[in-house]
Amino acid sequence: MAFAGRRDVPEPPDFGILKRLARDQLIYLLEQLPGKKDLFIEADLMSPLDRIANVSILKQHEVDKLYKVESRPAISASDQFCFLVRPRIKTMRYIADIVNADKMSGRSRKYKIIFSPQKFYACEMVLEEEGVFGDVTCDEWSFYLLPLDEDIISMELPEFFRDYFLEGDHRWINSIARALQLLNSLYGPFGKAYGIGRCAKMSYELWRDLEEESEADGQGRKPEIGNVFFMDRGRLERGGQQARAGQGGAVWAGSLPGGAGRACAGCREQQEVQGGWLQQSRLGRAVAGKEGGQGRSVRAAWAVALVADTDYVTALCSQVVYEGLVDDTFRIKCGSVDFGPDVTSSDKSIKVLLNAQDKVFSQIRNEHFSSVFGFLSQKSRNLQAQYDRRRGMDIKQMKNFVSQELKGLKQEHRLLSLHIGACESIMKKKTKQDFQEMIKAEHSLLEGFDIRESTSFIEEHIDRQVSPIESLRLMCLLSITENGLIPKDYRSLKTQYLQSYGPEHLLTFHNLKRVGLLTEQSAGETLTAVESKVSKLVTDRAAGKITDAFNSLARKSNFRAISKKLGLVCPRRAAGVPLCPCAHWCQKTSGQSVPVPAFPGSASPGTCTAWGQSCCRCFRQWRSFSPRQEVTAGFPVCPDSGPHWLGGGLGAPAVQGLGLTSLPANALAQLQQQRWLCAAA
Amino acid sequence: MSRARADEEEYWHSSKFRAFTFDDEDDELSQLKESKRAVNSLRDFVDNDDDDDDDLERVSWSGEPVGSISWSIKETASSSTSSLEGRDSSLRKGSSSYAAFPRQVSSYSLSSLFKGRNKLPSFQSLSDALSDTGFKNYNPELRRPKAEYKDYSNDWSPKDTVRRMQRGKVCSLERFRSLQDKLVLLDEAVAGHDGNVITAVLIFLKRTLRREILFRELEVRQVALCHLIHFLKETGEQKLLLDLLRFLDRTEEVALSQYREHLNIQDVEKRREFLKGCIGLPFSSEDTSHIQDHYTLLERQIIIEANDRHLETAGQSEIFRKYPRKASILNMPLVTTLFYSCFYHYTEAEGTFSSPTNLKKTFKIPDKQYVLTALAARAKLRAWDDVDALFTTKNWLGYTKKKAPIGFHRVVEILQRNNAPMQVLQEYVRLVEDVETRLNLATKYKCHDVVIETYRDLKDRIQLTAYKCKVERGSAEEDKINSILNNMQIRWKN
Repeated sequence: MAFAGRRDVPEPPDFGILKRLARDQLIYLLEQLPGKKDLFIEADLMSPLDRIANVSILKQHEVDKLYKVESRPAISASDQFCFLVRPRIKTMRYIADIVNADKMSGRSRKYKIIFSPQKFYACEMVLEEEGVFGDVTCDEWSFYLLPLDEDIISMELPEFFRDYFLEGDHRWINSIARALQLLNSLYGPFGKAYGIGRCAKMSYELWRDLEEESEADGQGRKPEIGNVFFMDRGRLERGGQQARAGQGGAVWAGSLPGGAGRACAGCREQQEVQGGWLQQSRLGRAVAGKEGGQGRSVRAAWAVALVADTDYVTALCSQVVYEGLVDDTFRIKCGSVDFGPDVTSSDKSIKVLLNAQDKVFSQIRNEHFSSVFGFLSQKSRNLQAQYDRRRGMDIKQMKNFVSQELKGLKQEHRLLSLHIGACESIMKKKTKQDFQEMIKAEHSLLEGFDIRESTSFIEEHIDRQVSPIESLRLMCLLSITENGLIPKDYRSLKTQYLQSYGPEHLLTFHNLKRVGLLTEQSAGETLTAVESKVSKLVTDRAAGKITDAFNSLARKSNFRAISKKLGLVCPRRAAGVPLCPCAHWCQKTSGQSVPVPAFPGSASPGTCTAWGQSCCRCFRQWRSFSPRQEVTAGFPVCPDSGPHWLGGGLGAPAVQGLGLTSLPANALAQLQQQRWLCAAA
Repeated sequence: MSRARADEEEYWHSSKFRAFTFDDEDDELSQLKESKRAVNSLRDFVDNDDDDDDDLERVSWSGEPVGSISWSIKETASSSTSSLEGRDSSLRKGSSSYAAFPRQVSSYSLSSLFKGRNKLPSFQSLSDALSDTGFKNYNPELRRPKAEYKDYSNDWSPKDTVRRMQRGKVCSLERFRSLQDKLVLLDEAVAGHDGNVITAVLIFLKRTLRREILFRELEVRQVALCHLIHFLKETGEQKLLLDLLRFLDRTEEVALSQYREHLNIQDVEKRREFLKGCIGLPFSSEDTSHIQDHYTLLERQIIIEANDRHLETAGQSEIFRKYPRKASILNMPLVTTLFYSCFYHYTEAEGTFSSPTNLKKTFKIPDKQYVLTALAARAKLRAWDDVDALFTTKNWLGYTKKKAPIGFHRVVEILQRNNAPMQVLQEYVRLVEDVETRLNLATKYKCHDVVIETYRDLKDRIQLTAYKCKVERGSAEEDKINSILNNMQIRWKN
C-alpha cells in the first residue's frame, strides 16, 4: 500500500545509492588490508551490515573467517585481523587485549580497526594507553544512513538516546551532521529546514558549518528532498532500529528502532533522523500529508526530518497495528525479523525482510491487528481460488499458468503462511498477557479516568513478575500522563518493582527519573492560586484537606491539557466507521492515540482535509508542547510562509511503536542485558 | 608553579632572544627567518592532509601580514578576547623579564605601525592575531622561550583547532598551556556542538590540569561537565569520578555510582561484603532501605543456598528429589526467592531463614504479593489444600470464609494455568464477585455448574436454555438445567 494510496505523493528519491556507497566504501577499506584476513564484527553492526553486503562479497575481498566481537576468537592462524566496530571504549580494550596477547606470545599480525560511522578521540586515547596505538591502523567507514525501506532511512545508532538524553553527551551530533551532509550532497539541497529542540538545533548548526566549506557543489541541482525537519527525540520506536524515512517526507533518524509502525494512514512513512532513533512514522506521514497537498508546487516533495525528542506517550502505548505487534513479539531489527520455528511451522527459523516489497506485509502493516485476520483469510481464499483455476485448464493454459503465475502464487503462499503463523504466535502471547486489560488500562491513563484502577493493574503486573519492561513502560506512561506519580504510589510501585525484578533496578529508576520518564510529584508544587486563597479562609486542618482536594484537581497533567486542546486522544470509535487519518492513528495505539500533531509543514490550511485541519489545530498549539522553548525561541515560526527553522514542538506522537523499550531502554539499560529501550550497555 | 617559573626564567636567561626593539631590525629579520623555517618544518607533521593547504595559506607566510590579520580578526574576534586578557595577565605576573618592556608602549606602537592611530581596539585585534602565524614576530608580547615560541608560531586558533578536530583531523593541543587558553579551547569545543571534540579537549585538560582546578572550571561549564562524567564512567575511572561528584556535592550520585560497582563483582561473598559497605552511603532514606534489603536478601540467599545444596546432594529430602532445583537462588529478586521458599520450604517454622513467613516479615512483603507468589508456588506443586488454606479465614464466631487480597479472577487464572482439577477451579470461579467476569471465566473454563447457577440467580431463562446445548447430552449438567428450567418457583425475568 505504500504509495498506492496516494498518487499525490511523489516517488521517493533513490535511497539505494546510500547502500551502494556504503558497500563500495567498505570494500575499499577491506582492500586497504590486502591478503587474507579475519573480520571481527561488532554485534550490533551485524544487522546493518547484512543489509549492505553479504558473506560472499566479504569473501571476494579476502575475508577469511568472521567473528563476533566480544566472543573470544577461536584460535586463528590468520596474519591479519580486521575489526569492524562501533567507537566504544569497551571494544577498544577488547582489541587491545588481543594485540597485547599476541605481542606477549611473540606473534606478529597486522591489525586494522574500521570504525562505523566514525572514530572518537577517546577510542584512540584508549589504544594509546594500552600501548597498541602504532600497532593498529584505524579507518572510518562512513556508513551513516541505512535505507530500511523505500521510505525510511535510519542511522541505526542505538546509543544515541542514552548518550544524549541521559548522559548529555553530544558525541553523535557530528555524525548526524555528516549524515545530513551526505543526504544533501546526494539528493540536492534541502528546500527548507524546520527544527525543534536543542539537539536538533545543534545538529543543524554543525551541519551548516560543515556545509559551508563545501558549498560549491550541489548548487543548481534539482532538490529531491523538500523539507527537513529536525526534532529532538521524536519518538522512538521499539525495536531498536531506527529511523525510517518516510515517504512523503522522508526522514531519517538517528536510529529508529524498530520497525514499528508506520503510522499513519494514507501517507507513507517517514522517517526521521536524529540521532537516535528515529522514529517513524507518524511524523513522516504528517510530512507526507503536507507535501502531498501542497507539494506539487513545491519543487521537491521529499522531506527529511531529524527527530529527537518530544513525545513519549505514543511510544509508551501498546502497539496494536500489525507491524507494531510483530516488532513487540519478534523484534524487528534493521527492517528484518527472525521468525522462529513456531511461526514457520518447521524446525528452522527464517529471516524475513519486512518492507514494501513484501506484498502481503505491505498491505497489513498498518492495519489494526483485529482486522488483519480478516484480511489474511480473505487473501488465502483468493489464493486458493487462483490455484483452483488450474482445474479445468487445457494444456496450453496450464503451461501459461505454470510459467507465469505459479511462481508468484507460491511466493505469496509462502508469505501468507508466514504472516498467518506470526499472527497466531502474537495472539498466543498476547492472550497470555491479558493484552485486553493492558489496553484498557492504557486507555484509562490517556483519558485520565480510573487512575486508581490502572495503578493497581500496574501493581499487579509487577507482583506477578510479568515482563519487567512492560511494567516499566506502564509506569512511565502513568508518570507522563499524570505528570509524575503521587509520592506514595511512586514509593510503593518502586519497592514492589525492586522486589519483583531485582534490587539493582534502583539504578534503572534513577536513570528514568533523570530523563524525566518516571518521576515523582513533588508535594505542594501543584498549589494553585485559588487554592491558597481559599485556604486562607479556613482553619488549618480544613486547609489541609482542601489542599489535598486541590492537589488532586490540579494534578491535571500537561499531557492531559495538551491532549484535550489538540484532540489527541480520539474517542473510542464504533466498529466499521471509516477513519479520518487522525482516527486512523488512533487505531494504532491502543485504540486511541496520540497523533501527531504538529507538523509545522503540514499545517498549511486547506491541504489535506481533515488531516490538514487537525494539523492546523496542532500547529497553533504547538509551542506549548515544547519543553525547551528557550531554545527554539529564536526561530521564526511561520507555518505558511515557510520558515527555515521552526522551533517548537512537535509533539507527539510520532512514535508508534516505540516502545518503551526503545527509548529508555537505552538509557536505562545499563544494568543488564535487558533490552531496554535500547538495549545498550 | 614556582619551580616552573624558575625554569622558565633560567631558560629565558640562557636564551639568545633579547628584548624587542624597533631599531634592532636585523635581529628581527633573522628571527623571522628562523620562524619561517620552523613553520615550514612543522607543517609536515602538524598537517598531513593536503586538502588543508587552503587554510594554511590564508594565514601563513605566503600572504601579506595585513591580510592575514584581517582574516584572523574576523575569525577570532569573537573568541579570543578572553584568552588575550588571560594571556596578558599571566604574562604580567608570569615572568619578571617581561617587566623590562614597556608593554603599553610597545603595543601601541605596534598598532600604529599597521593601523595608524588606532588605540585600544586595534591593539586588541592585533593581539588576537597572535595565535596566527605570519604576524607573530612583530609582536613583542610573544616573546617566549624558543621552544614554546615555535609551537605557537604555526598553530591554529582555538576555533580552528576545534573545527579541524570536528573534521577528524589530527591536531596537537599541547600548545594550549595557559589555563586561559585551555578554557578558551574548551569553550570553543562546546560551542562547536561536537561531543567527540569536547571529550578530546577534556582528556587533554584532565592530563594537564590539577583535578581541583579542572573541577572548579567545569562546575560552571555544565555541558563539558556532562561529557567528563560520561567519559569517566565509560573508561571506568571510578576514583576520579567519585572525587568529581563529591566536589560537585552530588552525594546521591556518589552513592549510586559506588553501588553500581556491585554489578561487576561476581563472587557472592565479596558482593555481600561490598553491599554491606554500601549501606552507609549517602542515599536518600528511601533508597537506603532498599540497599539494606538488598544486602539482607543476599545474605539470606547465601545461607539458604548452602543449606539446600547440602540437602539436595544428600538426597534425603523428598521435595528436592522430586523437583530438582533448576538454578541457584543466589542474586535472584526477592519475589523469586519467596517463590522458591514457598516451593521448597513452605511448612517451615517462622524461625528459620528460609521459611516464607520469615521472608514476608523481614522484607515487609505486602499481602497481595505474598498471596500471589505463594499461590503460584503451591499450585505448581498441586498442593490444593495449601491453596485452600491461603484464602480461608475464620471470623470470631468460627465461621470460615474465603477472602483474597487479589481478585478471585486472578486466582482462577493461576489455578487454571497449573491445571487445577475442575472441583478446585470451580470453587474459585464461584467466588469471583463480578457476575459478568464470573460468567466469562466459567464459560471459558467450562465450569458448567457455575454458569448454570449464575444464570439461575440472574433469572435469565433464555441464556440458560441456550447454554443447554453447550453441555453434554445426558450429562448431570443437562439434568440440572432441565430441573431448574422446570422449577415453577423461579420467577424468570424473561
